[in-house]
Amino acid sequence: MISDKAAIAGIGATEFSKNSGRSEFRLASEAVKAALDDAGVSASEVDGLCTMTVDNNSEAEIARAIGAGELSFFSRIAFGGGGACAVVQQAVLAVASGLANVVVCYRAMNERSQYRFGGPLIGAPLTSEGEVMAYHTLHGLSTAAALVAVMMRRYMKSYGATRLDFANVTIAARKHAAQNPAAFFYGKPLTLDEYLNSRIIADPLHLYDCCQESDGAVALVITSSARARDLRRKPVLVRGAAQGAGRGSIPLMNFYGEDIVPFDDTRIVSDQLYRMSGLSPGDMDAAIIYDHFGPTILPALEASGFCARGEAKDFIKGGNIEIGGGLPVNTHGGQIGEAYIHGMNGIAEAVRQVRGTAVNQVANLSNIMVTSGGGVPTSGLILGI
Amino acid sequence: MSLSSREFAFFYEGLERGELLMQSCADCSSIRNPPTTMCQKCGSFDWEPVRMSGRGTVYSYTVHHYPPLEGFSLPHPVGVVQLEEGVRVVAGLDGLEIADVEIEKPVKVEFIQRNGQASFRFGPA
Repeated sequence: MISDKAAIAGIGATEFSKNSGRSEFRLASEAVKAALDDAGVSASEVDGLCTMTVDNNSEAEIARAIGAGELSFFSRIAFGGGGACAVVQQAVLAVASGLANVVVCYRAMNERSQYRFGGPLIGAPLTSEGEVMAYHTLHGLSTAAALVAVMMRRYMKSYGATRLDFANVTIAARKHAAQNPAAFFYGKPLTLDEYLNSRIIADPLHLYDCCQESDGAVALVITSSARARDLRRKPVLVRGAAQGAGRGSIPLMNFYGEDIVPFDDTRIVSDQLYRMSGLSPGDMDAAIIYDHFGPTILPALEASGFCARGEAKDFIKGGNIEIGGGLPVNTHGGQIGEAYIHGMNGIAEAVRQVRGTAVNQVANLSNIMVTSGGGVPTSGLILGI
Repeated sequence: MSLSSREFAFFYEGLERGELLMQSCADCSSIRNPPTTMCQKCGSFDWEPVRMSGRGTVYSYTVHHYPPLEGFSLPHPVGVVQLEEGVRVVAGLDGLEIADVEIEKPVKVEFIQRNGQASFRFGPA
């Protein structure tokens, strides 16, 4: 239906830091300009914009800042980090349906220097969602880490996974980040001892299970595949783009159904991605798996069909998710190692992998999967040549 | 509670009376949590509050260490309890010693004041 109709023709980003020293509006403007320059498309051709609902820069503001053309498409996706791939899906839908020709996707956050996602969640007052949030946070279960910790404790009990297993995720991420000049932890791999002894956040999650808090912005330019072939860069085809939410699920507070492990949302996405693209897990040469919390990569790998339920702890052993392994994961270092731009920097890495320009380049890469946040209504992409 | 909508008011009023109440569908009797507007199973908008026994087992949990949480002394055990009626509820587990918190531990509800309002948590059964 939409497979291969659109391509990511440009990517742009600011530096990633702990204090950008400038506004989110400025960061977004810089990233968008960089993405347009990368694509070789002028701002006046931009006729669509999409971002996540939590972004503090409206589509109109960005369009005004960059000197965009007349707009025929503007859209936002909810549920925080679950939305990054869905933002690209929106752009793909717009382009594939003929509603827009050049759609910019962006996300800019001074999350480290201005506001921090690691603190207690507060739902908007007088919303039904805020009501449900308050129902949970009044008991002192109120940070994303604590909420995910409850899910992952159940995963550990169900499948026998331990912190030693979770360590494999973080150590691989930090190994990749250590090679990546854009990463906060460039030059700084992590040892098992350092991982195990890091400060506890919400049992079983410790500091190095958690993604960073970062300042920075990332932008993408989506056009038709035909247009992308005429532009500067090797086209990165969007082979699949999907959203997914389990029945009756509650974002981050999905404690009431059969399964509280963050699985179903991702499974619904991956089923669609494989169906849309005609590909299977074995066709993925690498994967960018969302790591707001590294341990969630285990159920996400299972939900994406890379291994059976409960077997991710074995799948990630022995370097299998590192460069050179069977399925390199988060080759940029992930959000644990590179930076946390709400999933958008992971999409940019996937684009580089398809182009062949990544720092930790996987040889002969044809297809790469990207997943968005676990435990929330989520999304995913398959990008390829 | 200032945020309480009509769907949740009965629950918080129940806590003030020392009752753990859930919505029970008037048409098909299924019990649901969290409160919502209608029955997911049969579509009915009619429901009655039903009082839970307060007995259950720990389904999962965390112990929150960082960052500081206003109104809570840390580390704070909190999690999901599977009530014997079959429905799950989220609550503090600080009626238990942290070392005793584990999945499948039998627990019983305790009605408490938390931060100036009627609340509940679970302690040893």
